Formats: sequence, C-alpha cells, structure tokens
Amino acid sequence: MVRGHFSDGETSKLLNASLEVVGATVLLRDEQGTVLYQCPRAKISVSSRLGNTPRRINLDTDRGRHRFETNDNDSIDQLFQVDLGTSSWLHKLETNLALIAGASIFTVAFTFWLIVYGLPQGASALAHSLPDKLIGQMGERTLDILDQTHFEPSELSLAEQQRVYNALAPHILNGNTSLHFRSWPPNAMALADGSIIFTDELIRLAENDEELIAIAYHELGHVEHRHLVRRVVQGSAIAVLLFLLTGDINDVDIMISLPTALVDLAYSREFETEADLFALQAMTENGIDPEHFYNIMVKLEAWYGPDVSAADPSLSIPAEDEEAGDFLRYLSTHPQSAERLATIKAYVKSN
Amino acid sequence: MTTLTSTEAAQNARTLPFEFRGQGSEFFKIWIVNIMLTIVTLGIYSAWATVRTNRYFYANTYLDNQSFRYLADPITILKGRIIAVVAFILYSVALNLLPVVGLALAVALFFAIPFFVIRSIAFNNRMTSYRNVQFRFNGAYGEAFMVLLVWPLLGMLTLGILYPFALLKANEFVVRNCAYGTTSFNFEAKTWDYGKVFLLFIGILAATAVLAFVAGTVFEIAAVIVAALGYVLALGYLTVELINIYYNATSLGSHRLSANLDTVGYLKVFVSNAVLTVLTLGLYLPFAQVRMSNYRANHTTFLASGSLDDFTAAEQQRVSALGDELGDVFDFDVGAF
Repeated sequence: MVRGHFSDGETSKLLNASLEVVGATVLLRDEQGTVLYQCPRAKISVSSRLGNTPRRINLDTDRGRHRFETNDNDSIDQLFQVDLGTSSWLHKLETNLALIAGASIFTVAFTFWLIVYGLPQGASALAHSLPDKLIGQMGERTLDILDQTHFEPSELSLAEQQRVYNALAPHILNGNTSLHFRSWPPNAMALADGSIIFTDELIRLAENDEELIAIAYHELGHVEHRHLVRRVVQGSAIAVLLFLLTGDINDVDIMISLPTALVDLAYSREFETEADLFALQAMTENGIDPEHFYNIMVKLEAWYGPDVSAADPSLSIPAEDEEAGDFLRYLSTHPQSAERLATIKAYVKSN
Repeated sequence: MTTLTSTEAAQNARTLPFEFRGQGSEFFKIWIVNIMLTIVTLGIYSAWATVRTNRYFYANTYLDNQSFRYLADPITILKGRIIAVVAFILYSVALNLLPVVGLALAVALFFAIPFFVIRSIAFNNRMTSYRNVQFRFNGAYGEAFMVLLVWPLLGMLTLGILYPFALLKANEFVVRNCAYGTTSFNFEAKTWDYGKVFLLFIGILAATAVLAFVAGTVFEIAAVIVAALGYVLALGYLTVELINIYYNATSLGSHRLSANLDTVGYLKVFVSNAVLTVLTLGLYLPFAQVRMSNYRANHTTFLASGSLDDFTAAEQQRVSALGDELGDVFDFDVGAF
C-alpha cells in the first residue's frame, strides 16, 4: 500500500488516498478505506523516477485525467517494477556514482577535445569542401555594408592606386580574389568572397611595395585557408553545442557568452598565426625577403601602440588600454605582437 | 461554492511561500547523465534532457506543500526540434543563395513571430500543471503583433521614452491571457512603475560613467573595474525590479502573487554562480541553477484568499510542440519571467 494524493483532474482538489494492487486491478482508497477509484493495471502509466521528485501515475490512460501522486518512490518502484520495464534504467544511471564520476571526466575531456581539435578540423574540412561560388556569395554584400558603415573612398590618386595594384596583383589575384582601396586607419582585410582591402594609411605606412606584398599574402592566407567561413562555422557550432549541453538557461547568459567569446578569440588567434605562416612561405617561394613582413609589422605595432598590433579590422582593443595588462592582451584578436614578431623573426633567421 | 463574508475571507487568507526543494548534488547527477547521453546520441537525447531538466525544476517548486509538474513528451519535443532545425537550415541557405526568396521568407517570418510566440507560450502553459490542473494561454494574434512588434518599435523610435509602456503592454499581454484551469490571471501595473525603474537604471549607468571617468584619471585599470561593477549592478537592479513588478502586479481570481527580490541578494547569488561556473569549467552550472531557483522561490509568495481546492480544469486541447521549438530556434523574447 502506497500513500499519496488522488485527484480526478476536474478540479484542483486533492484527496489523501492510498494505492494498492489487487491482482490485475489498481485500487485507490480514501482514509476510511472506501474505494475512490479502480482501474485495470494494464491501463495505468507510471512516470519515470527522477531524483526525489514526486511520482505521477496516470490512471485509466484512455479516458479522464485521474491521477495518483506520491513521494514514496521506493514503494512505486517495487510495486510497478514490471510496468516500468526499461524506463527505470535512467534513474539507475543518474544514481550510479562511478558512472557520474566517469561521465564528468568524459564530458570535460570530450568538450576540451571538441574545442581544441574536433571543431577546428571539422570546420576546416567543411569550409574546403564548399564550392568557391557558394563562398563567394556568402560575402557578396559585406563590402557594400562596410562602405556604408566604416570606410571612406580612397584618397589616393588613380595613378598611385594603379601603381600599388600592379605591384600586388600578380601575387594575390587568382580569379577568386579582388583588390580594393579604401580610407581607414592602417589596415588590410580579407572578406569571405575574396575581396582584399588595403587602406590608404597602410599604403602610406609601408616603405616599399615588398612590405605591402607581405600584408597582401597574409590576407591571401585568410582567403586560401577559408578562415572567415571556418570562424562562422565554429562560432555557430559552439553556440549549438552549448545549447545542447546546458538546455534552456535564462539566468546565466553571461556564463554562456563569456566562454563562447573566449573560445572564438582563441580560434581567431590561431587563424592569424596560420595566415602569418602562409605569408612567410609565399614570400620565400617568390623570392621576396620575409624580413619585409617583419618590418611592416613593427611599423603597425608602433602605430597602434606597443602592446597591440594589427593588420586586420578585427582590432578591437584601443591602444590606451595597455595598462589593463595581460588579460586584455589575451583578448586581443591577434596573438600578442611580441610573440608574433618573434615567430616571424625566427622564420626570417632560419631562411 | 458558498459566498464568504469579509471576516470569513480574512480568516481564510493565507500567505503561502514558494519553496524550491531541489538539491545541487542531485541535479548535478541528472545533468551530467543528460550531457553524456546527448553526446553519445549525437544530440537526439537533448529532447529527453530538456524534459528531465524541466521536470526536475517544476517538481521541486512547491506551493502549499504541492509541487508543479512538467508534462511534455520528449518525442513531441524531438519532432518539433527536428522541424525547427530543418526550417532554420533551409532559411539560412535561402537567405544566402536565393536572396529574393530569402527576403520573402524573412518578411513572412516577421509576421509569423507573434504566431510562434503564442504557440510557444500556449505549449509551455499546457505542459505545466499544479494539483492536476493545467495552465492555459489564449493570446490573440493581433494583440501579440502590437505587443511584440509595434510597441517595441515605437519605444525605439521615441528613444526609449515609450519603452516602459511597451514592456507594460508585453507583461499585460502574457499574464492576462494566462489561465490556471478556467481561472484567468490578471495584471495591474502602471507605466510609471516601469518608468521609475528605468530612470534609476539609467541613473546608475550615468553615475558609473562619471565614477569610471574619475577613477580612470588615477589608474586606467580602475576605470575598467568601476565600469564593470556599475554595469553589473545596473543590470542586476533592472532584472530584480522587473521581476518584482511582474509578480506584484499578477493576480489569479481573488488570489495574489508577490515578489520581494533585492538587488544585493540577487547579485550575490548571480556573481558567485558566474565565478564558480567559470572556475569549474562549467561543472558548477547545475548547482548555480539550483541556487538561483532557490533564491527566486524564497522571495516569491502566493497570497491565497481561500482554499486552493476549487479551481476547475478546462477542456482538453491539443497543442503541438512546433511553435514551442521554433520559438527556441529563432530566440523570441516576450518579456515574461
């Protein structure tokens, strides 16, 4: 006999009741022992056990909304072992301490693997398997939007533009890419559709064409490695992953958005390193001294301040934040300039 | 039901606290099994995970010694989720590849938002029961359209001046169309209730900006810290006061709801939750959710004017999970708490 509450589902009234199984019949009695309700055992459904939450038994599943509810989980498990069948295995998993410990380690390890290896490799494979045409369409309108929101038209003379164009074109124009000039702080950037944009100020900052070619190769590296597509894919995958892992969470948005942002920044640092390496190798192959890349990076660093370097629009930390120290530097889209410059220098020396 | 004299009614009036009886350690086990099975089944188990999580939180929320129930069937949720994901992929592809079709879909979606929101709330209410009586929702498309699209737009166009009114309308829409069985909820708040809160919210932000500027003249890093603290304080205040208004304005027949969350107490829970969750690489999340539910339940009460035995259930009605899950995918926010 199990004690609990009976309700007929017509009103919110609950009656103290006890449930017992007599043969193939489920009987509900009130405190005086009068039968309140009875139905065939085959017609009931018992909710699966979940922690110590009350159990709900649907009586007569074909008709009506009669329910019996009780906190006496153990008695219900015993009484309806047969009826519960396989649905009790979840509760067994949820109370198995060895399994819980194993699942915790597995989850942390799996999440780590997914973020560090699984997602980047999957996104890379996906990005490289997409047809060029599709990728071209993805970024089609980006330049128009940037023109409206950020850029001014280039102030360079047409002759100057033509000169730079002629210097860069043989290195980076390959049918999928295009070259544009705009006015904006010293910077160059690549869009998903293969548009590579140089700003007037960057062109003025460069001492010779080789320095511009170095930056152009860096941007071409972003295009060839399909970094923009990979970043979008990885970003959405992280969002979906977090939704699946945490379910609907309303109160703790910041706990979701902060790690997502940090992971995204880590990915983008990897992309910068990859593009740097692409530029250095391309320069060596084309007989251009990789030292030019080092020189233009030093100039960019000096322009933006000692701690933050950038050759991309994603530059998000203004120079005056330098006192905020390592943490903000970590947040910077580009690998710490010193680290990046050191890598470039090492490459220059080894060649 | 007999008519009560005012003295009798007063005698029957009771202040019933909400209680949350969930345990962090217990929920952690359910949560980690949810995650593991979701990974192993490549996401399919997520529908079951959602149901088990909701069941746990509903069933541990007690009022007058009886707890709530979450009734949704995982299969229904799974179907809705599959349809929603497929629709979302088609929509994204169309938007990128066939801009004209994509644009038409975007316009259609814009007008469909109120419909999905109504379906979503209706499904969730329908799947919630207390004392074996289910909740209902009967919002109409026209009103939802005004509340979700027109009033917020006017709020923006008036640089936020109409925003408190828009929020009042949104809360009113949600609560007044909710019912417990056949008993409707009512909502009685004034625009000024919201206006006061928004003014103080803006005041805290302005004071933060001034303080951060002053602090920044001494140490630049101090400006960042002051700004972050002020921002969290302002957001905490806004959240807490909007929750309080929402519950204090809500009544069910002759019964009333009441909430008295305080900014400092709420932020203590929120900030420590955030810090511990980050430090434990997310493993503290289930404990954080339980603590927050506990805090919110402890600061919400039900002022019963009499017995809770006499609510009548409404007729059975079928609501699919589709609206609910599309609502999830496109992330609609209705201003309900």
